[in-house]
Amino acid sequence: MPTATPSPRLQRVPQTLIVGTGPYARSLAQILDARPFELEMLDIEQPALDRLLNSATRILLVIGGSCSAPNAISQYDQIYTCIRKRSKQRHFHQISVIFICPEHTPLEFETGIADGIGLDNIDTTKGVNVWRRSESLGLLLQRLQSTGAADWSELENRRRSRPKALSLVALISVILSGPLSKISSAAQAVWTEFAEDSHVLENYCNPPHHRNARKWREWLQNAVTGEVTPDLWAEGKKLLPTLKLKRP
Amino acid sequence: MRQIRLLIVDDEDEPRNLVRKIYEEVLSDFGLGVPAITTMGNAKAAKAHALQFLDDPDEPYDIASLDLNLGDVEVTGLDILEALKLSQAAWTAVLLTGFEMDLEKAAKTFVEPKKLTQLLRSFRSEAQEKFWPMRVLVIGKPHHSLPHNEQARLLRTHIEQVAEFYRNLESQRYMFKRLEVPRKRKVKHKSKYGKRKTALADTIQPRAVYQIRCGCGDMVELDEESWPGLKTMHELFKMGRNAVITAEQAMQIEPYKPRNNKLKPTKAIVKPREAAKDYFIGEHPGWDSYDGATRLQLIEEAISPWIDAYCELRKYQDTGSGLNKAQQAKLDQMLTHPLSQVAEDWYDNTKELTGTSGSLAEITIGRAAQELVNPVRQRPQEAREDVWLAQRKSRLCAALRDKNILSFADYIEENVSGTDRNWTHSPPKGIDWST
Repeated sequence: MPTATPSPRLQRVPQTLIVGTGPYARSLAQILDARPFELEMLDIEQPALDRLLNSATRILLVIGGSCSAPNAISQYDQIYTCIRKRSKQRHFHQISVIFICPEHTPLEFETGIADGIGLDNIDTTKGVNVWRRSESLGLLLQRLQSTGAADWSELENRRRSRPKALSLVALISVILSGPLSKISSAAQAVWTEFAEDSHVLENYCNPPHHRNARKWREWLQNAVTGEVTPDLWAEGKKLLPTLKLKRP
Repeated sequence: MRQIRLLIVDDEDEPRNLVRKIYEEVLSDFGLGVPAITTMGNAKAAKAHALQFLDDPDEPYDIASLDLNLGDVEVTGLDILEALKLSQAAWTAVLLTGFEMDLEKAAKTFVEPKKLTQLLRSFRSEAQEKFWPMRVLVIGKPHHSLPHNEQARLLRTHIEQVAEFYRNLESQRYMFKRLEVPRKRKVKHKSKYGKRKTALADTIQPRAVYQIRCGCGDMVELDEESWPGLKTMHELFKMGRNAVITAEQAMQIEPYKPRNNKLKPTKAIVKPREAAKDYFIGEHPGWDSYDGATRLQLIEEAISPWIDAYCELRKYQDTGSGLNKAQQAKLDQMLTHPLSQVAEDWYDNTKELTGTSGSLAEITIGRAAQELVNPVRQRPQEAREDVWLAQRKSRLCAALRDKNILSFADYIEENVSGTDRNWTHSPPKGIDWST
């Protein structure tokens, strides 16, 4: 039977993927000889895609100018979730991710990303790095080489053991089961944890991140500064579904 | 006796050495021999070691003893447990929780017994989620503030439990069991309100199911009817070490049945329509006496006037360009031709080769035409016993691999061997099949 000869492009499975839809992502893919990839493609059931995700070791996530850190982390989680499902190594599949940010991205973005992956600051050994478009391409190549890889189980353990996450889990537990008298102290603990970087609270909220985090900040302020009333408790219960974390 | 392979993962040196020493003593006392022990102190290295089995499968560990807390925020004993399951690198696992198990002492010193029991229960359920539930044991590690003798005494009691647990489970590691389960059929009946209902009821004739576990993987259940060759293999395994089964015996145990195409995921064989053969016999009365080359030439002559047009129309249809009414009518007319199946195969085989020119003889023709050229003749049943015996093994292994039951397929390939008319099953030392 005649068989079609696979082209060299099909035979070679790229290890570097560039996630993004714009012309910047496409041209970067050309320069780095990587495969451009769209997040929408993740839902497609295709053996070729399984092969692609199974062999992926480096992912460059191109972030738009209006994208916040929690949104970037959501994209990162989306990719990881898909890799976990399709890779042979499941959630032990190790990848390194580099966020490609616009030139004027504030430093808060970096702290947001670091917190989203369970760290205080970006640590290149933990599988994540950031590169701004204003920086040189040589630096990007260097970062590609120097950034270590991490897997989902490590990421989840790190996230779970963050003092911020622990304080929020304690608060959720108290809001769900009481007593009323303990809510104030649990809220105080959360308030203290997030005092220095309150914007990071967005990472722990479901989308819309900013709006939900604002509601929680207001609630926490009321619980810390004023008296915790049954109404405030009820309000807290209503707000619980907006948090990503669940009761242990 | 095969030497037990044991993996101990603990980040602290002193407890690790104590655990190692007690394992050596207890396993020897239980008559399980002196184990070959691998110890690891680094959590990440242990995880990587477990995952290595995915790419490079080695002989799995018989017991993996893991500390829950490995002094690393990112990797716990539960993660290693999960990695061991993923790579099928351990038969049984033991998780040491790091809590005192002696409840009386716990009540006096460390934790409230009620809270301790709750904690252990939660660890147990987590461990059972991460590993095969029946093959994981959660035990307490004596608290480091206890006197050394007391620690050793408590640990020895727990490790004796582990040895007992392992000994009981060992017989299930290689299992090839035949079970008879009731066959269900749909029965219609009327409810008390007079409504017609359908329910499942057992039938008199049960169906046979084989439970198979080979090594550290999951247990699978395979139906006797859908898995030809399994019954013969089971009988061979049942006969014991180095038993031989002949082709005649195999035919008695499991008479030959035609290939069940349901098992094969590949495209079903397209049989030439009788119409095609009738067409040629009608056109050329001496068809049966012609040789292959003549037949091929006649097929080519018969379809060449319209094959190009057929391929073109099918191409439009496939590429989504669509057909207009006249084209559709023409294609429908061609499909009623007795040789349409031959033409369809021709199109299938050549659509990849755009721009290819040549006669049918130069490029492989389809199955339908091939069968017309060289008809397959059924051989008499008596002469094929030995052939079927060999086929039975290869077909069974292929079907097992198809269903991702790799370990059992590999085992059969390696350990069931023989000549044309005889099979022998010779398992390695230390592997006893409970059939």
